[in-house]
Amino acid sequence: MTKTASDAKRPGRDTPPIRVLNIIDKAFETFETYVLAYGILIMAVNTIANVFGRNLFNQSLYFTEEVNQFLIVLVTWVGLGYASRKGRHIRMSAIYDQLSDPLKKALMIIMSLGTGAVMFVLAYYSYQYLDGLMGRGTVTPALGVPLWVTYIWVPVGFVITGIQYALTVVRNVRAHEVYISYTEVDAYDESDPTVGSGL
Amino acid sequence: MTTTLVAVMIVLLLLGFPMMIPLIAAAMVGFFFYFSGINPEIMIQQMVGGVKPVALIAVPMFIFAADIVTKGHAADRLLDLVLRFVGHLRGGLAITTAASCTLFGAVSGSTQATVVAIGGPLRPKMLKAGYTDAFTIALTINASDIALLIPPSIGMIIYGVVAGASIGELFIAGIGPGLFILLMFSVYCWIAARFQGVPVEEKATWALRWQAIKRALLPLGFPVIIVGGIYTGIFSPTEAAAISVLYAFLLEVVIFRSVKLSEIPDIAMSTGLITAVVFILVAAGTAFSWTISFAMIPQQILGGIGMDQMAQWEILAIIAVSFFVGCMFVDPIVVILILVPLFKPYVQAAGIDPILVGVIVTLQAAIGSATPPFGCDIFTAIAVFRRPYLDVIKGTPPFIVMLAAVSVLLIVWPELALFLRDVAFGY
Amino acid sequence: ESWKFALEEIDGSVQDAYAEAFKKRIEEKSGGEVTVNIYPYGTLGTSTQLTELAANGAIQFANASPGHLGKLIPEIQVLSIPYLLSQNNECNKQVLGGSEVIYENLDEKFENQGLKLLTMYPEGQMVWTTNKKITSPEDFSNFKIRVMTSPLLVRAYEAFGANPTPMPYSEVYSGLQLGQIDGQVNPIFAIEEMKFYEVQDYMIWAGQQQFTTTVVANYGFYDGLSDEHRQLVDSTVDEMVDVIFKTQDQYNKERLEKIKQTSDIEMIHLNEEQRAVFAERAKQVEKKFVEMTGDSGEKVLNALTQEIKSCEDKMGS
Ligand code: NA
Ligand code: NA
Repeated sequence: MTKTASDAKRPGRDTPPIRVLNIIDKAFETFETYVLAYGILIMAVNTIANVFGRNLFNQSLYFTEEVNQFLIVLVTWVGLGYASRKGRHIRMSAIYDQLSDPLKKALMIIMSLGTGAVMFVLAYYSYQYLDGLMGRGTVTPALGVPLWVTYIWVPVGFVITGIQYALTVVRNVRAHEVYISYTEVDAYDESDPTVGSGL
Repeated sequence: MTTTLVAVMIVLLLLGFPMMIPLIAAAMVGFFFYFSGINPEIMIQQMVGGVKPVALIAVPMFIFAADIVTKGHAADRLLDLVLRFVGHLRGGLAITTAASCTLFGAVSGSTQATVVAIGGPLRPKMLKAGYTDAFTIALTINASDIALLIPPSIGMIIYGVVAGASIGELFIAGIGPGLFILLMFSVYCWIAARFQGVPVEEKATWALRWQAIKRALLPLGFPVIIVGGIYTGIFSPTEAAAISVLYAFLLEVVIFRSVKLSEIPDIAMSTGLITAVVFILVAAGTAFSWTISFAMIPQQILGGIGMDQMAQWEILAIIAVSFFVGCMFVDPIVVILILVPLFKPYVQAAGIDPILVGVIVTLQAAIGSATPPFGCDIFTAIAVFRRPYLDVIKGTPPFIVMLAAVSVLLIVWPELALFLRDVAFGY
Repeated sequence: ESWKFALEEIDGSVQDAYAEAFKKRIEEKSGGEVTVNIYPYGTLGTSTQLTELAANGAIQFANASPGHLGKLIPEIQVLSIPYLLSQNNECNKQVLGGSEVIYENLDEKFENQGLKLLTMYPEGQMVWTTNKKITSPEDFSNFKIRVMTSPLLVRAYEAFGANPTPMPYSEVYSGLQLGQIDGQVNPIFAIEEMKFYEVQDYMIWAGQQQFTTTVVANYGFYDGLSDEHRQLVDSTVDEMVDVIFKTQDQYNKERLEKIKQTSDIEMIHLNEEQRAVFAERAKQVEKKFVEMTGDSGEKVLNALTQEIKSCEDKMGS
């Protein structure tokens, strides 16, 4: 695991509003981890059930495809937020890695501002897109569920991510070290890769 | 417009923005500055559409299965078995990795799933044996890409449909080059093992080997179930991924009791995270390629280079280069859909065998998936192995050179692909 | 002025032939003032996405097949009901090209979706490809047939005695090859394009269905056209009814010839009695359709049946 803020320096001296913010943040994190875990689990169960249904009971589950599509959208966009929180988004850091710490920090702030802004713009357009789907009353073919219900996680994910990047800016302005996200110091895992799974 | 988009992407990329941003920003530039009156909501439509193809489910499912067995005992038992048989050979472990990637990739049809399923457990072993990390990662991602050439291959199906070529013939024609690449990689593994001074282990006794076989008996059920299930039509390659999750669960949680039931949600969570990190790039790439398509940029670039005057090999070279470049940035399927129709008339006019073109195109798709800046296997390797971008791509140049050499070989010596096809179909 | 026309099918398909002929006419008649750009399948998205693109005005024209359009306008799925259209294709041409029921009844529904229904045309008989000989519903028992994810089609093949299995189009070839499914149903041009005949033993004509597509325009675009341009579009669409009808017939014949030459797949045409058994079972699908679409669906269904019948009577078939 990467070092977290809790290892680096302890809050304790956080002001009450920050503490409330931390609690809300923690609640979101819990929600995100549950969505990721159970999204993947249900995807597995759903797909396996269809294989058994088709082969043992001669009955294909007509909704398997749609449920999986819903889950993959859910996992991707809620995971987008979670990956930002954990600083796990893939970036080409070749140049960045060569810079001195103050420059890194400056670049990290620019990057977070830019990424956050893009996320909010995308959140706006996702909302618009969903609004259009709602207006046209589009439903999914097998289950007949309104399509916007299955896409609601797209704007939610973009907003969560936008907030994460905004928080990263705040953290970098306040803290001494360079932070890749609100809670994670920018450092690669230097533990021995020959032990453990590499995951 | 092309210049602006490329400039925006390169600048954002080099500044170290998350990889989704250069792709999305380029799309935004298209919408905000070039497509007047076109609703930018389309970006969202395309992003969501990008992750919806049902076959993509195989990726998280194979990742999940691989996560479970790496946490448990099955992966170790299988690797033990392999080492007892090839540990004393120079480059044995590396060659095994390459062969496993080819096999697993061939069956699963997903290069990304292969990176996780084979690379996850084998990378630590290779590092322990003394291979460099750069070599290990590069070998994994490049050997995984052989998957695209060996049936069943979604890339070839899409090509067959768009080009009007026989999918059965394409499948057979891919096998020769696929195995040839595996052979080249194996030779390179042997050389790398020599130069990296990887020590060979003492040859294991048959008693030890027998013991390893017994321990690996149940884990050996994985390939049996996956291959058997697919080839008897019980499940599709996509569903095979979910079935391997079930088998991994039965082995590790029920039989070996090496993973606790309560650990499963945590493993699923980590799978979900990696899935999201990779899939958001698939989504962003789809929005980007829509922009390129809508603006008809490929037509503009290809128009006016006088392909109707060219010799067969020149046309094939241009095709190879176009697909190679395209697949560096965008998902291979999308590149095939956009570019194949553009080349089709020239291929027909020059009398080139569309099967040969299909193999060359699929090979470029394979190379592109492992080539910077936007190769999806690079993303997967970064997400799974948690190494910086540069570390992941450091070892790839020799592999890209080898694969490019095969492309050239296919152009000058088409029999490499067509021989098996001609035998099988009696041409 | 440049208009964009997106297809659900690839370069060289029936839809492409339509778009190319449409383009040629529009460009000639407008004296080069209007150009038409054609985007074949996959370059701008899936069928569902194309309909959305047409609805929000990113493109002006798109093909939209009833299977997909049915999510927005349930009544259009009437075209998915087996044995509803005529065995006499001339009647199908007349009804699809100019049916008052469909065009007038559904116009407002299309408008609500931001679309204008310009035309409908058949692309050929839907033919079964199978790994065993099917001549009766009994032969279909325990038979996994791939159909599109449409409740109506699923119901239809259940009624035929088969075991309908959804599967993404791109996976059908390997699904057939590996025996995960036993058969599939598509028009001849698709069977040729996707090479399904390479991995199947029989092609079976049961006369149950024409594959139909629609051409839609963005509503605002169509509505806002100058009189001159509207006339240009309307007259071209009218001329195209005959053109595409001949073209699709010729394409399907050519493709069938190609299949015959490159494979020894056995071709079976069910006779009248055999078809009647399946047609009888298709009545259940009509019920399901009315259940799904209510009064307005029933109105469309009845009127369409009526129009086809009176055309058949007139033609003496
Ligand atoms: Na494969
Ligand atoms: Na790529």
